[in-house]
Amino acid sequence: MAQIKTLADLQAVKERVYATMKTRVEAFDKSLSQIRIAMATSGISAGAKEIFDYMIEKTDERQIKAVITQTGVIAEGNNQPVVVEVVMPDGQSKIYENVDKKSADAIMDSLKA
Amino acid sequence: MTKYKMHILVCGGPGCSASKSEQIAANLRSHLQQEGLEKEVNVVLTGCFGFCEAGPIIKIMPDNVFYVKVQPEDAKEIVNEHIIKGRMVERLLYTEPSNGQKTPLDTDTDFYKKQVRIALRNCGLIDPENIEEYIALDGYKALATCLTDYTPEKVIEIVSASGLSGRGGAGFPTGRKWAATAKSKAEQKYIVCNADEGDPGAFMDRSILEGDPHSVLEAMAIAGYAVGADKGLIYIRAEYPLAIHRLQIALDQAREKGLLGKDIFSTGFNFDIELRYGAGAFVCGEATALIHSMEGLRGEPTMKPPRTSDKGYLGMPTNVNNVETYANVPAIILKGADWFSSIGTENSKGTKVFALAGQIKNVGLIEVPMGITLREIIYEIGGGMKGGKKFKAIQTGGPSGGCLTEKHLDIPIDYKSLSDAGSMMGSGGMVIMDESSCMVSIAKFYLDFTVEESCGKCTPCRIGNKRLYELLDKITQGKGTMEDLDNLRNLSHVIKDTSLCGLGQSSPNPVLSTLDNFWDEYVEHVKEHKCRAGVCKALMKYEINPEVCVGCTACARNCPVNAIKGEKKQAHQINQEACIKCGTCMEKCKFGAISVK
Repeated sequence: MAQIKTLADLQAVKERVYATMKTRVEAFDKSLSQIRIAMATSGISAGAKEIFDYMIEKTDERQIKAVITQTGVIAEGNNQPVVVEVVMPDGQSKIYENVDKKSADAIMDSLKA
Repeated sequence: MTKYKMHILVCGGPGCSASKSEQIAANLRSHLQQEGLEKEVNVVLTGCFGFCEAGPIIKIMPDNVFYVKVQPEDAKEIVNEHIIKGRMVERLLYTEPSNGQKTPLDTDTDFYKKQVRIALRNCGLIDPENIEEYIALDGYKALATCLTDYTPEKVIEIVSASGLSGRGGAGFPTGRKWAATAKSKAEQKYIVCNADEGDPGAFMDRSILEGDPHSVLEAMAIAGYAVGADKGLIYIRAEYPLAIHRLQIALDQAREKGLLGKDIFSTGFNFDIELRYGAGAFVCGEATALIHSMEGLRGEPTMKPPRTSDKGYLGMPTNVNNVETYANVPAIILKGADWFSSIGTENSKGTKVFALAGQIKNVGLIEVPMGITLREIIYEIGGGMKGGKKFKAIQTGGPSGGCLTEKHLDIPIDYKSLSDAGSMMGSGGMVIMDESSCMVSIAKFYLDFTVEESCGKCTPCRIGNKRLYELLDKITQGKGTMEDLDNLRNLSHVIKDTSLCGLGQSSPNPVLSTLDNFWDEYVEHVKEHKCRAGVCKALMKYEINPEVCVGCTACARNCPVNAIKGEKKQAHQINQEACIKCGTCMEKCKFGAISVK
């Protein structure tokens, strides 16, 4: 283990490890938007898992402040395969259906503004 | 580096690990591996979550969903349902006692809603055996900031301005203590952490050391820089093996990273810490007794002055603070004195950790801002009284504190208001009692503890407490007189005024506060030979109602001392002289003919 000799060394360790803990810590932060992806059986078979992974990767890359979680069926009786719900810090929510990578990008962009 | 999509936090606190939480973590890991998810989902064994009532607890992040009373065999369902399909496992969710609803998010529960976590900020969030997780949450940044940007005077100024005061119970201003040690001139100075937590039922310091040991190490190094000491000692009870184990790991990792040892942050500042084990004597929580114990002498207090800041360990200036006090320091340095002093009341700043115990629904570890009322703690965080019984008293401050009643429920908690009410903050034990507790017996219980723990050095404490105990015992036996009640009070004041150290000076508090607040109950014991709570056995009388008794002989046959006589099919009688009040007869009677008075 390398010794920490400066504030910059400390910061480097912090950033490296924080990246692995981000999903744990930021959940406490209620000022962040939540992106919830429906991962019921139908969702998974329609590719919800890929969208989930994709969004986790991309929000990080683009530094979009949001917590991404999975959930069960969103909006019961709705048959659209991949469903994503965005809950804003003020409690307002929007539901997107039929989400693919392209529309996932658009959802993330909408949070950036 | 792996980027985890989810984290499963498993409580590794004292209560939950006793209920196999380590096995839960192991099962979760193996099921995740079977599903090929071990790279995406991280299982972390953390420090105490505090909500011991509902343990073992696990928490799933970032969903913030928490499951209660989890068993090792629930691991598979949690992985299959929650982790893979995103469906909550309903049956493991927590049910809020106030409205009977399932509450998946811990932040929404009455138990957590009113809490403010500073000293416990990382407990239940990080892996205490991994220094990097502590660093990731700004760990050791406060030390770096002090060493590179602040002079020692500036550090003391910040701590003083924050209003932080001793969390061991007495509430001495921390900044003033540091300043006094800094002022003393000597070749060698010491920083001591008092981890000799001894109040019955208290586990605040233990939870901090087990859940976030680095916060204490970092703060001790900061204190070392501020007062000019390069050696630290942690005096910890040998009965805390897990805390010792985690501290040892933390010390090793901090040395390996160069955060303890020589030339820390290339500033020429040296600091290292050693562990010293206490053998569990209550009096060793007193600073001078603690220091003598570390020196290899008897754990006995000495007169102050000289204060430890002038002459402490090995005769050198020594700064002694409690675990929780230290745990606050890094946060104060990083967020500023103004931030800290904005929390709390005018004369008590910040938060306090309490261990809730007794007859309330939610027992556990809580951290609340100073100024919160006892009512909020008992009825909101604590969920109210168990079994619908009526609140009777709350004991704060352990054996040095007192019992408060209904009329004290709305005072804002701080050092001053609690001592004005006849109790004290203490290290943070809170025992809530309902009508089934006898207050004379409670006072006797604490005196029994004090008599056992008195070191015997000074007469008032050694003999006075023994006599107090005997008087209380006499009253619970139904042999007390009204004069005894006066003697209790007088003797209590003598012990308080003349004892050498804090132990004796505060040991009569449970007696005085119960005399003040439950005078009627004492009088009842003396005059009417009655214990309304039904706790004092000598005052109880079992009686057989001859109208109801059918003479089945069940009571007589089961009485262990043959105190019941009577012919078959005739009403029986109890010989009160011989009766030992064990209650077996009442238990065995199928006709409800036996009652207790």
